[in-house]
Amino acid sequence: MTTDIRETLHDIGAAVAPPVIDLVAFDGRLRRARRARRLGQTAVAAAAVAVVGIGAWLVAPGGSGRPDVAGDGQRSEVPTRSRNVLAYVEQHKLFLSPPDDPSFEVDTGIEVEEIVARVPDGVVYVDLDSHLKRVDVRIDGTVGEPVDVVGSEPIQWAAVDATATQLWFVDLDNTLHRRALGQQTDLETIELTPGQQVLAVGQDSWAADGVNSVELHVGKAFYDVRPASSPLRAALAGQVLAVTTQEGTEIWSTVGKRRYDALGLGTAALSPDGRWLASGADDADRDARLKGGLYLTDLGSGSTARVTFDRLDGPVIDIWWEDAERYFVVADAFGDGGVRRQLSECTADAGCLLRFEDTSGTLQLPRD
Amino acid sequence: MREVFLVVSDSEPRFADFMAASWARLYRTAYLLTGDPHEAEDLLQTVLAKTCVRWGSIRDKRAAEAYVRRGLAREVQRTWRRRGREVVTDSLPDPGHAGALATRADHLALWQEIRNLPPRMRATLVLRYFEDLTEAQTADALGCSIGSVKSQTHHALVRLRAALPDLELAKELP
Repeated sequence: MTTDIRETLHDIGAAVAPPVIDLVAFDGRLRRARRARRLGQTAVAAAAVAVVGIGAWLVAPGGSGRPDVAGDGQRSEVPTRSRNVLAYVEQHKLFLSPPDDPSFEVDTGIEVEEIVARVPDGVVYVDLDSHLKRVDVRIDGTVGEPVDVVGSEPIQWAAVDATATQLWFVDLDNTLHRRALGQQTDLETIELTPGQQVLAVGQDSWAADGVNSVELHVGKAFYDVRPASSPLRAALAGQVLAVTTQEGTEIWSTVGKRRYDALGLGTAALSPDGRWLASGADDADRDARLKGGLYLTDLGSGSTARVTFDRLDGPVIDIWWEDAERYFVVADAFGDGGVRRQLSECTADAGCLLRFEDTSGTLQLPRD
Repeated sequence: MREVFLVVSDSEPRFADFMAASWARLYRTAYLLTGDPHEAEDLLQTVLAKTCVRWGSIRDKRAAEAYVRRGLAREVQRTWRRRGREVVTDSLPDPGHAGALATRADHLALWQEIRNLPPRMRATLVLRYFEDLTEAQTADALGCSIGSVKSQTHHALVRLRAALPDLELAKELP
């Protein structure tokens, strides 16, 4: 079957006659692209704010431009180490790093597509056949036997809420299920419309990709959240919804809305209590010759501080919050031996320290 | 070629070389992603203009074509979002090139069904089987999970099998 598809696509591709390049049209597009880029680099003013809809999801003026580093905001103290076992993926294998020796790692031998969440005493992950599994993890780095979380059928997508109590998953029939973690019966069963993509989940809330909007469902209430442009990603924590668009990361909450042109559209990460937004300069930011680095925004006060950390010199790839205070950062580092991935451990009230370097360049942190 | 230099300015001649050399190949990818010749040209022009603006910051120019392909996959996704929900219909509003392509009848029949697939499913097949990307690379290009690539591929194959029960290819399916 796949051979037929491959042959057909190549056959059709070869049979298509490409048109001559329309240079006049291209010139117009080029001018628009240059204008858009200039606007993006000069910190677009907050766009007109659309009315959200009903209830407490109110609208307030906002928009802080590129990270507006507070005068006293540099964080450079070295944090204390986590007391938890860190779980991560390298070359599709689940690895564990005990807290007392960050240079030591345990190859569990378990094949993993991605870690969905680190939950108390265990890891929820998707295996290479798209089955949702859980494995118990002990403090000494040993693991239990992997078990199916939702039966033996493959799934499309799964997530655990910030409190690590609610499991959400989408099955192959495009139905969204919510269950208490560890339970086998649904608390909610929602049939998604064709093409509808779940972006984020909370304890009793979920957000889906709408038409230039985020459809937010909180219990039985529905809110049509309209960010400045099409949503790319979203996160839910407490009463906070973070929506990342090409223009930056917008924070919607019960007290209003602010937009932060956070660096690293792919990396901005909300802490589980919804207080902090960590973001780092990714490849696109660096290509745009913007200042690199790691930034932490206090969503209570709206102030952003640049985290001073000399070891972070490459683009930030991923940020993951272990709890309300501690987060981990994966960044590329360039050297004679090629690209390496650095894992750093940071706390909100202090700074970061380098945990280790991954020479395979495949390091992945838990998604939630 | 000189006209292109005039358009993109003298300081960016290498982009003009790149565009001239890769236009045909990239157009074919854009056509397979959109299923429509006009949309393909629009899509490719948009992504190439963005690439031109960022040309100076693309470190490895040898990888520029892959960069544009990724841009095509991302941009076509934005287009879907602008248009709203995917709507699967029984008929195609514009037969486009498909009716005029000089190619095998069974391939044309299969292509028509591939064009009928929802855009994300079609893009997954194009990236996997025309561009020969791995599942991980396809997920990266589309900005989704590997599980989503697997399920989109699975559902696409099921739909094609259902749509073309009489074709030889259907008998090969598990």
